[in-house]
Amino acid sequence: MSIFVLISIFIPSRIRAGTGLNGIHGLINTPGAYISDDASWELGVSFIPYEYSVNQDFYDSYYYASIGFLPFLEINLKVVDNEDTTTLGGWRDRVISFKLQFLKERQYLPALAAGIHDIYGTRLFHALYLVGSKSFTINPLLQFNLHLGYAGDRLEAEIYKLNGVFGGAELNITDYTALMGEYDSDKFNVGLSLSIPHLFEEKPVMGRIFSALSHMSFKFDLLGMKFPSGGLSFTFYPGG
Amino acid sequence: MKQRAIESAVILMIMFHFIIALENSSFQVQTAVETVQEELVEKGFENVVVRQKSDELTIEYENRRYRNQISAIGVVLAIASDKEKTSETFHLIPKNRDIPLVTISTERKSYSDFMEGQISEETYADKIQITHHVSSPGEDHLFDYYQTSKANRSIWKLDLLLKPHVNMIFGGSPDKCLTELNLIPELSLSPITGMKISGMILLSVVDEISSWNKPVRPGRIVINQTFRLPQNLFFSATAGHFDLSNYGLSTELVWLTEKNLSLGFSSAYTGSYSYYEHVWEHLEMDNWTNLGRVSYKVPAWDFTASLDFGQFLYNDRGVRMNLSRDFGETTFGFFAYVTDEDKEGGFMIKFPISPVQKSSVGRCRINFPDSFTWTYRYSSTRSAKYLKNGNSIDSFMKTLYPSHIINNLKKIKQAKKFI
Repeated sequence: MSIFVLISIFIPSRIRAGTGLNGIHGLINTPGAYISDDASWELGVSFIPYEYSVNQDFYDSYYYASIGFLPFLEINLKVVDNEDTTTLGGWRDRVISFKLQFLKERQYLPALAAGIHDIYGTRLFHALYLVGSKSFTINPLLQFNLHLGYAGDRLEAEIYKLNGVFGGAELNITDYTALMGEYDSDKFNVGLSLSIPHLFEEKPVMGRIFSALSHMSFKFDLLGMKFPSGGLSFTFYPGG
Repeated sequence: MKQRAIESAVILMIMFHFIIALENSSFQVQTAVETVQEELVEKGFENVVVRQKSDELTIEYENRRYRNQISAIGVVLAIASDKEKTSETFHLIPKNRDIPLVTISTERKSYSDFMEGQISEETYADKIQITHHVSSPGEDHLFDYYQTSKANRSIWKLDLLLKPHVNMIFGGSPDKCLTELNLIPELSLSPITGMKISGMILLSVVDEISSWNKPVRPGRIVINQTFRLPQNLFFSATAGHFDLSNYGLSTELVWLTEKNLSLGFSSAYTGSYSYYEHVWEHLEMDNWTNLGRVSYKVPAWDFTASLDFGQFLYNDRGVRMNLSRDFGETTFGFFAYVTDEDKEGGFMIKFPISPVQKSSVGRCRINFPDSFTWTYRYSSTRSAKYLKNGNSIDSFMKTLYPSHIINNLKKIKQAKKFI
């Protein structure tokens, strides 16, 4: 492979990065060092099978909003709904998370970010971590992202969603498809993310339908390589 | 002798025609200025004054027609540039209750280039000047000026707002979410410059939270007077029945610097009241709320960071930090506080709900508020609460801060659709 091709792999073009099941930019359960587009809002819902829910008896539903609050700061608000019908009708938990990117990706340097999930309260979904991410553009259609991080237990929490080394990789095939694999400090997960291209731009009706659909993305995952999970989200820019 | 008489007659005729030409030209200037004023009044702007001084046109106006204040700036500029062709510079002074808020100055050429797409929004942001300083016509007494009288005054016009109000508590079992939903009609009018009298009632639609158990109950009833003082100082005094069953007197003083920094101090002396079975009961006024505020706006991101410190509404003392960002007409922010009673936080979101163009304000108008704000606190404690008198100076400014205008110049271009 020529030296120029090798170097070009390290040159980040537009970095394609999606959100995980919890709405935080990353893979499936693990965050990456990339953050939401500045001023973007993403609203989504995810389904977590009972094997990996909080009480492991009933499934969890995540309803979240992720906001590109500043060019280097992502904020995530999440309501977790557990349909535990044995305990007085179930319960809800509110989660607020922050991720701060303190180093943007350079030609030879990865992006670096620090984050905290479930900063206050019961801390049933807590994580405190550092993570780095690096992208490699293989050709205009293929981009490969690597993520590696470490989460600690410095703050007291009921449950640590990340505790120890975590990481993963994703292969972006065009802007619309991503294959992911990760280790979330507890188990291995794989997943697929899909979004719809903006087709029929010249057509008035179909163009508008696909314009709306192009803001959506769909996730299909296997947690622990066995249990299906998934979600969908909608991204928009309220400031235009 | 005869030749001298003829020469004198010719000179007199030349002077006569010169004087006539002068008078005709000033008449045309007055007509164009008055045309601008007429067009603005027809578009629904109030307290309109148009002033011409050499090649500078100054327009004072108040907007209660267009939901977005920057869209209103776009409409005013479009009318001014179209109807008055001699001015090279426009100065716009938007007002609230006939009090000037800010001065926006732009060259005609820069504005035209921006509207025609010849310069970008970023380039135009460098050319347009926005300042809290408002000059009066008498300041530069070296030049003569022509000014129209004030047209379409806003005083004594009734405005009825229908406001939605939502309160939600998320929690554990058995009810995962408790909701309070009210519809709040608010009637207001401004009898003199800077004054506002308003009253509201709460119509309960859904109530799973409060203990009122009444479908209709009184809300905020206040009288407010706001002043603009020299050096970009604003002072506001409000008396009456406030939110959260408080009554009394509250004051606020804010200094807006030209460096995106503002300093403020608010003080209130209040007591509690109750209303039951058509009987008002007022407890003794014995509560002081004293807060200092430092606020800074980051123009690059339309981001505001503020710090409040002092004694809050329920006598707890501490500090509260608010961070918010405007995404166009939508605002998201979060806050955290530490007081001698508690430490916690929450978030707020504000988004527009009224139509982009509302009906003109006649003798009486019914409409919706420009935006809906929802504040969510992690728990229902009473710590770090503000006294809500409905007349904060921040709301009085109607988002007309230089940093916000600069970040939303595209609204000026989009305002073409209203012409």
